[in-house]
Amino acid sequence: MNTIVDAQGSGSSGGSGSHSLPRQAERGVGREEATSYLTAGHGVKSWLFTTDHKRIAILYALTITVFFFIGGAAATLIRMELFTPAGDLVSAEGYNKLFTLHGVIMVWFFLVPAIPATLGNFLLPLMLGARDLAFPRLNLMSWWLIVIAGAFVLYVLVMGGVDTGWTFYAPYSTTYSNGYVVAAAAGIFVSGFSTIATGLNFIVTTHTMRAPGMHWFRVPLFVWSIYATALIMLLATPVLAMALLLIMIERLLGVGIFDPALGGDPVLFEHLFWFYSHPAVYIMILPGMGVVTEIVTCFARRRIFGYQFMVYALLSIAVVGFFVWGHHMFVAGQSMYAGLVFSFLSYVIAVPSAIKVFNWTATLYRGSIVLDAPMLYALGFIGLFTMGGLTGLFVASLPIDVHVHDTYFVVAHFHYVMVGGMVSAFFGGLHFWWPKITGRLYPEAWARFAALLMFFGFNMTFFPQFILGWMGMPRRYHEYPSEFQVYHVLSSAGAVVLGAAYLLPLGYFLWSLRYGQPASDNPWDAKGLEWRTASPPPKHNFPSTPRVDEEAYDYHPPRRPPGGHLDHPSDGRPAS
Amino acid sequence: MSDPQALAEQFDDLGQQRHAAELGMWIFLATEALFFGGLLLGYAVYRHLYPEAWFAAARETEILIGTANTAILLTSSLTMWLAVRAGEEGRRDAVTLALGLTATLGAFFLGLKAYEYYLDWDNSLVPGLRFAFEKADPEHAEIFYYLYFFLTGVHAVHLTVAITAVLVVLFLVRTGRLAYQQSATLTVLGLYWHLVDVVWIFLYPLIYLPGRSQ
Amino acid sequence: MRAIGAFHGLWWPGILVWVTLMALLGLTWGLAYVPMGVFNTVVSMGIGTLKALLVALFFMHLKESGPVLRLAACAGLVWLAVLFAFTFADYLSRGWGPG
Repeated sequence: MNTIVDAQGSGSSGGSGSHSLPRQAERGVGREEATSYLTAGHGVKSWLFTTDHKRIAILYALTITVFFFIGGAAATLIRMELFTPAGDLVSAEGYNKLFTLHGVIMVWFFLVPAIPATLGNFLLPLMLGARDLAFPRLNLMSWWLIVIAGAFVLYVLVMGGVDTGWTFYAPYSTTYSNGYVVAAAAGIFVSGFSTIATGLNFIVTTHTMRAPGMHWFRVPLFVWSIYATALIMLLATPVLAMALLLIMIERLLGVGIFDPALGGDPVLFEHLFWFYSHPAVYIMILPGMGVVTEIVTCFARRRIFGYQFMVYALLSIAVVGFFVWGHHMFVAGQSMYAGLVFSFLSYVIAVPSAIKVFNWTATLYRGSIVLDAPMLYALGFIGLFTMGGLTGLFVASLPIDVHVHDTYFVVAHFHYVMVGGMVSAFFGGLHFWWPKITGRLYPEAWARFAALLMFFGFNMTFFPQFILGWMGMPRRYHEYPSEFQVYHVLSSAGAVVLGAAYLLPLGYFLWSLRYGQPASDNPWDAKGLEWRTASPPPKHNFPSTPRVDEEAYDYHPPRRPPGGHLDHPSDGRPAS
Repeated sequence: MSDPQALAEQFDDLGQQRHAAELGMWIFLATEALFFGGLLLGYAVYRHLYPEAWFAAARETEILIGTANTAILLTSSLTMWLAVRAGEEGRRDAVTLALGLTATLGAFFLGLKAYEYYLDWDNSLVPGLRFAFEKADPEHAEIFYYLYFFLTGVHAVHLTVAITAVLVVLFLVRTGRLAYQQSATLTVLGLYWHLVDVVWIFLYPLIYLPGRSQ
Repeated sequence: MRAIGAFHGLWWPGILVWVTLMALLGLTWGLAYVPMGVFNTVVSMGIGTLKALLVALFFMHLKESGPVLRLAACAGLVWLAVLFAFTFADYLSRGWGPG
């Protein structure tokens, strides 16, 4: 274990080891490091106005959990309504408001910030060996912005909702809708600034604050995934902000550029909207890929297969993701020739996605695989993401999309990617880094059960929707012909299982905060700088700046069978 | 020395901190390019669809004010650049003078812009509120003026933010509360100011120049 | 002139850039009235780009900046080009017959 050497031994202020980085000692960051970030300050103010990236990550986690359950409640009502063919629980308008609320909250207030702003915020500086992000106050501001944005959305919810769908298509949103379009759009506009601030912080931190020895190809793939995500956040979000601003002004003043009655072109709005919202799909999946990479390599005790290919795949998904937005507009009045180009490019983006799936699989080959809860979630991710990706090829294909456009096939497709993929990865990451974040171990048996339950519940909910869509059931209707009922009932029953699988971790995570076994610094025997500091980490992350002397994911010696045994959490050593 | 602390605790040295600040600002400027880009795309699409109305509408803009404002903003970029240079050499008086001139020129720009808006109101060129246009298809000319107000309005908001930031930094430099020579504050402020100028450099030919030769 | 004195030794090369910018402004203003058809747009946007380039290279110090800053500066423009290119791929091909 001499591969990563603390630059200054114990980190006491007088030390000057051979790799000494004297500024540490000079600047007197040393004594206070003994206490963890959780106990470094007391009272509500020390949380609400903290600039510590780890505390901000916790604030984000609590915030998005609240939104997750609001969005989940809307989904519950939707599935209840669809239990019977008749529209008996809510009116058509109420149903429109429900799926709009579900979409807006789940996209902008859960999925987009889910992994980047919680796990990313917490882990990025730790994985890079930095004391904090480059701009800690900007980081705090980004959290406050999403709270303000959330307040707008809650205002909309309380006042009676908005019924445009999360896509806000003009001219319905600008002219005809009776909902609170302006307030909802304003909320998303503000949340956009939060996203941009987070993305900017991550990119600058990754560029300028890597520990000595951590060159670009030693950076953990989770950081690479966050980096690629941040690129999309920065380059796509401003266009959405402008499109929504145009919607708001057009609606308020009655002049505009999207309403055909006023000489405008509604398809222009769709271009602006999907220039953001298609890349945003990758904001919602790339971080999940990063999490899964970390878990798979650790629980297979294997170096990641094809590290550099993984990096290039992440970056090319981020870039090519900007070239395919028109596949959302095949039947929207877009030119057929543009449709052909977009259809072809949508196939192209399947290549880097497939590279990632192959490389995860190749990493498992000859690994000594341990099926703990994080690994179960990660394997679930790989399966569900592959399903989502392959059905993506169906809808990317122009002739098939004409048939399945706006049906449940599309709904099932993107839920496989976002819920089956991203949410599985998020839960996997939460379990994997829970000991690091809280200093406690979660109950493994319960966690494995929850992971399996989520996989089955998810498939039961959304697989029938593929069949529904293929049979022609359109999305966004609150009543339907009775021959579809069996699939809707299956789906709703699956949603109950899925709901239980989401609530279960909430229960045992809370339980573990008080009764869980104390975690050692590195309960999984994992590689990576975040495991080289205490659990939970001290306020400034490391007693002294770590130095990186080994390649990433050094789980087994090159060209030899995998070695090493995973310390099972149930016999994990308590923190020293 | 009562030198203010220049180095934040998350950084190792001033070089790293400067690099981070400059990179952060450049990235922010890239997002600004796309922010304006959404509007410019709308401009390009409708100019492509309705060229006649576009040229007729653009001919009615106040080209004298637009040109004068361009000159003012270009000059303010020079004074901003002088402030950064003076900062590197630690010449506090020159810094404060240059920042003062920069803010003043910015305020001049906004003043002229406000007068131009007033003229537009007088000429019934304000979409939605007071719009009458006889020289071409009024519906599409109205889209031009809608984008004109949107683009110049968003630009004016940016300039207002920039002027405020310049005044704050001016105050901090004057009162000795900013280690302006070591920190990247002046450089970063300058980058933002120049961006506001660059945006206007593109708005000028898009708004004031089309259709003049017809 | 107090200003001249205060900025002693600082003017170069900014003042030259400024003079060039002003000359370009005058040029584009004048050329706008010369009928050149589609080239009016080409010239006015070309001069605009040149002016922006001068500001970026000299006033914004991009000439002396490292590769990362230049990359960041270019990223916004490249993505802007993507937005324009693909959107116009739609608008320009709409009249191409059946579709």
